[in-house]
Amino acid sequence: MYKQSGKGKSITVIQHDVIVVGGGVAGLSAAIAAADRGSVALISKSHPLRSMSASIREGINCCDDDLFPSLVADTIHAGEYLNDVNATEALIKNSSQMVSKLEEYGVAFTRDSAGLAATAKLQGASRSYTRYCSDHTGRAVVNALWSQVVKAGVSVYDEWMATKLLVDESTVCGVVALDIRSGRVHSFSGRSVVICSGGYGGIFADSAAGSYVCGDGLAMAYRIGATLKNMEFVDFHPAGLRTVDGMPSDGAAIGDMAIALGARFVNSDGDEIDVGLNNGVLPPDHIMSNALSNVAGDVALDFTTIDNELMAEIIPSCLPLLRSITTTSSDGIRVSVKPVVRRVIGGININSVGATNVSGLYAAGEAACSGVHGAGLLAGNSMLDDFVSGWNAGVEGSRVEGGFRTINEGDAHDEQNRIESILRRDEGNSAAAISSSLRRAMSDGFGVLRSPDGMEIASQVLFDCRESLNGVAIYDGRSRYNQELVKVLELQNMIEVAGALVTSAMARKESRGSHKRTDFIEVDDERYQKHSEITFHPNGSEVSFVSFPAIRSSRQEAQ
Amino acid sequence: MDNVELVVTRYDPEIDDFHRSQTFSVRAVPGMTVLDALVQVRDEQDGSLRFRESEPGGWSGSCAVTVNDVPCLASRTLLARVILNNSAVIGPLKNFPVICDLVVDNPIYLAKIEALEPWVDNAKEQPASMTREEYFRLRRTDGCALCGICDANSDEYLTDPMFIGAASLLWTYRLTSDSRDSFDRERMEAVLGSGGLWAFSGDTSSEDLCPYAIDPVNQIMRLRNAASQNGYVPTE
Repeated sequence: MYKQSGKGKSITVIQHDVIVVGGGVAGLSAAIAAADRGSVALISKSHPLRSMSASIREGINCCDDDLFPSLVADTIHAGEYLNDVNATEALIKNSSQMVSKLEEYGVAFTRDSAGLAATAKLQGASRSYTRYCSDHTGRAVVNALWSQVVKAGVSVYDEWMATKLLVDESTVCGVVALDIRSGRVHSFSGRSVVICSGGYGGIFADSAAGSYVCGDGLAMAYRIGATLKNMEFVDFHPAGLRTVDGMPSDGAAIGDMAIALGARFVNSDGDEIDVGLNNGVLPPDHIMSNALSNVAGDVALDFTTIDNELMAEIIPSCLPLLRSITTTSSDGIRVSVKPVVRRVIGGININSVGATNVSGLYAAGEAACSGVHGAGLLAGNSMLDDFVSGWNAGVEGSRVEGGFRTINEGDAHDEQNRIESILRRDEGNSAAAISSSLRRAMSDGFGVLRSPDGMEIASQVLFDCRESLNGVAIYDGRSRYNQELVKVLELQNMIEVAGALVTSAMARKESRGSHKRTDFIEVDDERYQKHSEITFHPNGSEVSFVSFPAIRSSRQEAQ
Repeated sequence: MDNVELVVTRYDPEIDDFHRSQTFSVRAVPGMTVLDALVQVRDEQDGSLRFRESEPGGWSGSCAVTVNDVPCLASRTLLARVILNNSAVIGPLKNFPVICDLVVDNPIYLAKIEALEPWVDNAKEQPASMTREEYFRLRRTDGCALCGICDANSDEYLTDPMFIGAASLLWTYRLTSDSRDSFDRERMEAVLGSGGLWAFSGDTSSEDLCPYAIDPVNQIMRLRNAASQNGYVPTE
């Protein structure tokens, strides 16, 4: 830490070689990788042990050379030929080695009776690729990576929210962050900043993510000129636990391991729903979710045919949740479910090593988009991408050389004043009301099925939310642990990111992967086998469609 | 269900000398959780109410609070199951310093885990393979989110405010039962001092409140049995 003075103002600056924003699997991975070469700050809105990554119920895909072509093919099938094939191959080629690294770090993967690593066949997979720790892989991996971050001596700033990237001569040189517990605003200086702050699943009401998962890092990067890519694509998981629509506890993703175990989707009459099972292979998430959204009435996930002992072995972590917040009958467990956003696919545009189009700025995990997932996610690829891309970006960020750049005091002060001024607004609308209307509208308009009317209404709601943003008030102006203040900052990010999603989704006039439009129901390879890219512009951002290293689909081959 | 009264502890150590409680009326809906009710209060009635949220499912372990004197995850507790005479009493976790209202000081708690050197330290480069039995042993404790509920439920703090904590003992057990870790003996010795393993009552009669079904009491008793078998005895 040092004092920087000049132009009559002085600010306290916290200095680290690499600044990682976000404490989930990607952020922890980036921090561990970067700590080999210098001092690392990990800034995270919640403690790393509390990250959304801990809620990942599925496992992590990996394969040897034999299965390599098949895992690549399944990934590209799930992504409906929008996957950057180089990125996909690089990720999967590395998978086995990276999963071994997790084992070195202390993760205990499930063993079969011979003591060998067990694998599961999840939805969308034609073979068994997924290593897992029963149904709490996310928790086991987060705990192990956190312990490595402690070992590596990373400085963890938990319950700190990064709010603005600092730029010097078009190069990112630090961030401003709010220490939520004290209410103070500080500046960080670094040779590079790595954004691993997670996705934007929380901008949807029907979501496995809380409303605080709102694309903070994306919005921050977008505002200083970073390109966002494929924002219209999000993974709709077929089995989100339904409690009370729109409430914070609604929508936990319980499905992957349960579905792999043989739990069936049933309609309100108890009849099994055809979700596209073909020769023992389930289709990827977006196809199952689409099938379920066409069912009239309630959908339930039915465990009654599954042996209790098997359930206790494969889904021991889901069982306590199901027992605590659902009513289970004597003949077994049957719970109400609906498709929910589980992981988003779009993010900050990165190259193969995690660099963005802005010098000094790197990104990884759910916050980033290399094109590896295409238009739809293959279950099990999510955590693999988080861990591997986090690692790559951490290594790359730590290789940035040269001295530290000077923090612009004016920018740092402006941000501090902006945050403090929010605390003084005591008359106006509530951020919570605006956020909940936006989340509902996004799920209705840009959910599993996107109709012209629904999209139009959601765009209007978004416009209204943006208009009312400046009139948002705070009930309580105390600065310590002010969650209202955090909610206002989150709402600003949420609106920015929702805007990018809406614009990208409206521009893509086709149906592909998780982007299903009712007015353009076909895939249009000629115009849209391209990635959408959007760059911030105050008077309205525009989308461009960009070619990428693609492979031709069988449909194209047939023509 | 109609309206339900939530009696919530309010406390800001910088302003208040004492904890006070405030009663809110919430519109109750079947299926709503205590977290849903708290969010309704904060978003619609009193934006100054502080508590930690969790994502749906509560896997992050952020939302631990006390409801009618019982520690639990707010997001995994159905309001309908805890209301008595149409009301529920909600407070912060016991045995933790309070930052504000229902928010407790996690950093102090987690620093105790950090002090254990909580990583698997494979100094002897044991192969990463493990048997199915070992996997099953590790599996339970690997679900731990350090939510604080086992420690909020520990009476040991009454007799010894310096108690190392149930979660610390649980993590020590997890590391000593991992064949890849080379420091079983050192880890065990690190928790044998005053306020450590012997201070743990091991009362298995009390209800297991762990939301992740880890059953910490029994895991910690395994650590204690292992310590006894290795010839360690309680010191006065």
